Amino acid sequence: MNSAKNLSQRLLKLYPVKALKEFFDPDTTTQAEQIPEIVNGHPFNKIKNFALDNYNLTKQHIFLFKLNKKFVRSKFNSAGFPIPVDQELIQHGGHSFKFLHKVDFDTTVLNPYEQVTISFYQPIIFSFRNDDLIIQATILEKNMDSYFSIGRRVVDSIKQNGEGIVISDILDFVRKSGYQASSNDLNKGIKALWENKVIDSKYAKWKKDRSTTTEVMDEEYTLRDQYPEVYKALIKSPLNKMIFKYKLADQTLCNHFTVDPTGGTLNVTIYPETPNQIENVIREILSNN
Amino acid sequence: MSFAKFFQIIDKSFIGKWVDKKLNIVEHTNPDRIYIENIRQFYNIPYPFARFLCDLAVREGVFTKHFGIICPNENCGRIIKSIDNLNELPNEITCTTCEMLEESKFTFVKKEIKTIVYYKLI
Repeated sequence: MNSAKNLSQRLLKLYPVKALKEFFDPDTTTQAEQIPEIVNGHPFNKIKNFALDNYNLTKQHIFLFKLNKKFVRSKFNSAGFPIPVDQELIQHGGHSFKFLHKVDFDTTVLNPYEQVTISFYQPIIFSFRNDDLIIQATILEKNMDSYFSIGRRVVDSIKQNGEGIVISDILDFVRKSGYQASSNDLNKGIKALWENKVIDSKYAKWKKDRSTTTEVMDEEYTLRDQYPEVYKALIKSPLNKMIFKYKLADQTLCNHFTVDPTGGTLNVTIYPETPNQIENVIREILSNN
Repeated sequence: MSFAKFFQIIDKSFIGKWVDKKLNIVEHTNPDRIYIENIRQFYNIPYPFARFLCDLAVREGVFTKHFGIICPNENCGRIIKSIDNLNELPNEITCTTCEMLEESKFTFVKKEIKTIVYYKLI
């Protein structure tokens, strides 16, 4: 259930089929055939490097923090980091640290009844850019049924050491290194993109003075296009969870992304079309913030 | 076409005698998304009458009839897609809003799908 090959297969399943085909060029055609072929034909290090190099092709939870001062690499000793870092590189004007985090799901299955722990490798990247700290965690498969044979049914699945624990470890280490980190309020950056008609909302949750309101748009309609008066009112309020659609015709940003501007989190839950889209979303929000 | 012809249909019927809130329709109803409840509430008539009038308006060529496929998730309920005929119901449909909100279920098979009827002014 949790052999090295099992973990490699689950890791590759987090990546779009197109990316696997381009990088590994398997002979088989379907994902179900390609992944075992790749795992059997390549050493783990090659698979790990593919996973870390191409993390921006995965679905992601992104957590944005503001540091109390600019990050200085020479004063940061990554050797003491609680999880071994697999790659460190300078990119996007900052320093990035990448690693695979092992996550366990304690799972209860029926037909027959069984309690099983299923393990996954989760690519995690944390980056320092001036006084910004950005933590990106690949979203793991939630449908545990797909890891069991047909006829068996998963009735419970509890994540034991999820990304919340890793984020807490990273923040503890950052604090011990002399920095204070707090959630980055993204309202200004998001509202600038919205105001400039770069994005428009398909789902909006925002604070009124004495309530919290949600607007869920039908079909492909977007809020500002359909309800300009509502937009004018809500643009003055703190925004909670929002789904945005990219309005321009190019592929610069992800077609859709979910963001909680007040909580400082950003989620990309549909595979990006290009490796730059997630980075572009982060850069556009932060540069306007 | 305006709502005028729809008003004429109503005026020809017996309930037209006590219909006096026509302006409310113009002010509050999107001509591309007229629900039976909009008509029922504005005219304060029973729901079956409102449905009858809307279907009459379709036969008279004033309205077109459509079906919105509703996301079954309790916290969503949005119209995922519109169809003109129930024969066009897909075998499976995904609510991308629920997918992006990371709901545990966001793809639904035909038997889980519910629809809501709405009309468009031609």
